[in-house]
Amino acid sequence: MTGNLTVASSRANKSLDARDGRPLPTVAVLPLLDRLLESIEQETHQIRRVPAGERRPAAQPTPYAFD
Amino acid sequence: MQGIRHHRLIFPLDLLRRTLTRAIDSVDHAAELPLGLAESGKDHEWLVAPDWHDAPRRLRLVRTDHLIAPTRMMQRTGVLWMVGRHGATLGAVAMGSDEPEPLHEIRFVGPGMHLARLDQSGNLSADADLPAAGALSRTVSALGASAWARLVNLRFGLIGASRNGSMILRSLLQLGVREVTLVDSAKLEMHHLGEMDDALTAGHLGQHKVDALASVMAQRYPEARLNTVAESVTHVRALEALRKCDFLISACDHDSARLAGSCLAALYSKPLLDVATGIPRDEAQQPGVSVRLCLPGSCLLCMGGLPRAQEARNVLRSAAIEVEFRQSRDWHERAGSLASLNRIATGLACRMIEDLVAERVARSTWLQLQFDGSGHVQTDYPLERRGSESVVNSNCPICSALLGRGDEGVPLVPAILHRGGSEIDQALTTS
Repeated sequence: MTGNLTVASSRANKSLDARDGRPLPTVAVLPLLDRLLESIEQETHQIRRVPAGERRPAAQPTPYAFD
Repeated sequence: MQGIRHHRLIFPLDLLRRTLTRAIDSVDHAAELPLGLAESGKDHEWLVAPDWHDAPRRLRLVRTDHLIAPTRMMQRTGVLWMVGRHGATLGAVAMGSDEPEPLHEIRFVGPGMHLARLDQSGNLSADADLPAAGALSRTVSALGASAWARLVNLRFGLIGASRNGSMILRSLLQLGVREVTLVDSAKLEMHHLGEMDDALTAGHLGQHKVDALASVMAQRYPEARLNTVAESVTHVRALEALRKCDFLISACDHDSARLAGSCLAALYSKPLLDVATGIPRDEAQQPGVSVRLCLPGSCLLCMGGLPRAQEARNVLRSAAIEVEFRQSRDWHERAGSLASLNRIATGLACRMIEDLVAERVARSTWLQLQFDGSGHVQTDYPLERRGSESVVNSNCPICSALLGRGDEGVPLVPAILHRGGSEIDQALTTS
């Protein structure tokens, strides 16, 4: 799953291997991030924007407060 | 050894989406966002915040096709997070020296409540590490295995362990939740037994509610870890316990505890679910239920408010005032309690949690349910009428001043709660 990414990771780690065995930052693949980026790309031109300066109406207190 | 430290990035999903949207077409684009910090021993939670100018450190988020770990880190850059193609990513943390430490996990706060691991587990999803137990096979089928696993791995903090709180606790444990922290300073009295969890008996009278509940639940759910804090939510022990949780629930009997819980949720960028019921003495008002799910950027003040906000702020002025208030409180302000109403409220609350983790609830949500004069149920979602698009409600003192500030924001809370807007601004500029 990592494919070419392991190349980048290994190359990066080579310069850090002398750190007394301490853990190193490594590359991971996050399916969630991939899905998020895909959905953003699809929605980029459909973003609903809130008009500047629009304010919310004053909140009405909820009457319920007991356990 | 320094490498023992565990680093988790806490990123509100809505904020991440907006940040990535701005960078979607820009390879090698870098965005910088303020970072708060919650530090518990070796555990470090780095809290990404949308906007405050005096941030001592920042997240540097880089869109790049070249995922190469840095050999040196600038101290002001608290966390470097590199996002490549197809979900490839790499995170590094600057901590005490210019040598980077690995970022281990990222919690995406919002729909799904996903936790992604970047450490040695590599590409493994943190969502899929639990088997579907036989007794819960129907629950797992209903929610989906992945959503169920995410839900039961969340560490819940429950503020208030009385009628609603005890029912929520049982519901969470029944779902298979592994860890709950209970916070409540009160002791069990006879009048609680009528509507609290049925496992409590007269033999528990006089015990702290949290301890009595933990003992009876431990018998039924021995695999669950139940932490108890028999103190007010404002106590430092409660703060230390709750900031380790992933999800806060307030089921309190007074707005002061709700307000304190709301501040904690904002400081540490945690979802907050508030459950309240009421059978008012005033005949003009009807029995009903309020369930509010506040994701980072919204809070109880800006989502429906608190009916006794001024009194709540006054109660939180000092521990002594809080104790005196509880001892002298007029408990007859409510007409009574009904376990049936508590069950409705807590059932709706748990459904909201399930739907958030299953990604059906996508934003902060406020549900009000009321029984009208004919006994018919009326439901309302007030936010749907208003819209709730912004990441932060800039008009709200809690959201605008506290969101994502972490431990360093705790000293700001008294100024936020007890003083006027100008003094809040002054406190922020001098912190």
